[in-house]
Amino acid sequence: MASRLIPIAEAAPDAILGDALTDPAGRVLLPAGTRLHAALLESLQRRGVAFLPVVVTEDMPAGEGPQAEDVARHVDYLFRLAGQGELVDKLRSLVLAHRLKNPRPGMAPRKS
Amino acid sequence: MKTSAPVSEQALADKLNDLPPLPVLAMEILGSFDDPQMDVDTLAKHITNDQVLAARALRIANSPFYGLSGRVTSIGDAIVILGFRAVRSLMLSAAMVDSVNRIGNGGGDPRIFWRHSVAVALFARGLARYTGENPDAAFTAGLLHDMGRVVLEACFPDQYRAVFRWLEANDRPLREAERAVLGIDHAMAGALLARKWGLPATIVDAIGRHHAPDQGPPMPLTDICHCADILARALELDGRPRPLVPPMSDGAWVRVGPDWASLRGLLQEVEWDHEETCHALIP
Repeated sequence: MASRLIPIAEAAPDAILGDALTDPAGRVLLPAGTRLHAALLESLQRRGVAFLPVVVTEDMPAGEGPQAEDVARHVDYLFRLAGQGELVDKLRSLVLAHRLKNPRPGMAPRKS
Repeated sequence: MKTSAPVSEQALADKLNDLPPLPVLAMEILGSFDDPQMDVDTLAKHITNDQVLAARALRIANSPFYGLSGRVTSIGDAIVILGFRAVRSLMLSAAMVDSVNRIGNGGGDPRIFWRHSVAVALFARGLARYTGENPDAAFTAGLLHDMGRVVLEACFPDQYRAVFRWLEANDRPLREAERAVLGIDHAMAGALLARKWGLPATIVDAIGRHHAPDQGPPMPLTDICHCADILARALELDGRPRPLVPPMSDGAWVRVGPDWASLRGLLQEVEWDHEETCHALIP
């Protein structure tokens, strides 16, 4: 099944997971093939799930999820006033790695 | 851009006299943190006698955060199931959130304010493991670190609206805007209220210097609060519209000393716990 990562707010109530949904520790919360419903979506949102890997449908082209360069640009924007130095760079890298693995809504590219 | 007259520390101190005091129960719980002779039964009885707070604690204990839905029907049950320290900590957190909410909402969206405060509290509790600080005290300091915003908004509403106008025109940290417009900032205001409330000196210092941990002697809880604020802002768990990570103190990071590998785990842990903790703590 081809899947695409979409913000949970945009997931249709009857969408199907194309990949397993895992928590940050890698534990499977819902297996691939799970059909979503309103109560399940609400529960996932309460748990802080921001994106869902749903099956691609005809009117939903694959490959439109947040791209690495978009996430990197957003993290750079976040750290614009944090200062400079080795520790700031290390923290920025840590946050970028985290966000690439755990994307959140609001990661749209920012044009400067 | 200075749009209103500066506020003197004395004017702020005078205004603080009109704010509600901290509930006695919260003071008792705070005082018990470092008291090895603490009488658990007495404190539990006092908690039970505060019916409003006890009901709130039961709601939290039965929330998904603790996974005990419907199983906790009394403070006694909660102490047996969760342990006294956990109950004490959640009671204090609930009391603090209620106390700050009685003052105001921080001049903006209260949900954003509390979502950020909860994120800082969770990070502070996680970072406390690196320095050996009391995790409950760290959580409390994180939860209250920005309460000066609420104080300034409640005491000087017109001037505080000017702070937000300044921020719309200048992409700078809030503290800088407050200093430019008011001449004082939320860290100072929060520390004054924390001192007036009789909070422990370490928490007063953490609130007062969470943006400037190097301006004065190093204090572990202050360093933790600074780093927790940075991490919380970096994860954007509050949903504020123009997010930024404030200036970082290398000194505080080095003193807290988190190793980068475990810090990655902490980011995931806090992100995972944040929603449920907000659900439990924010009324």
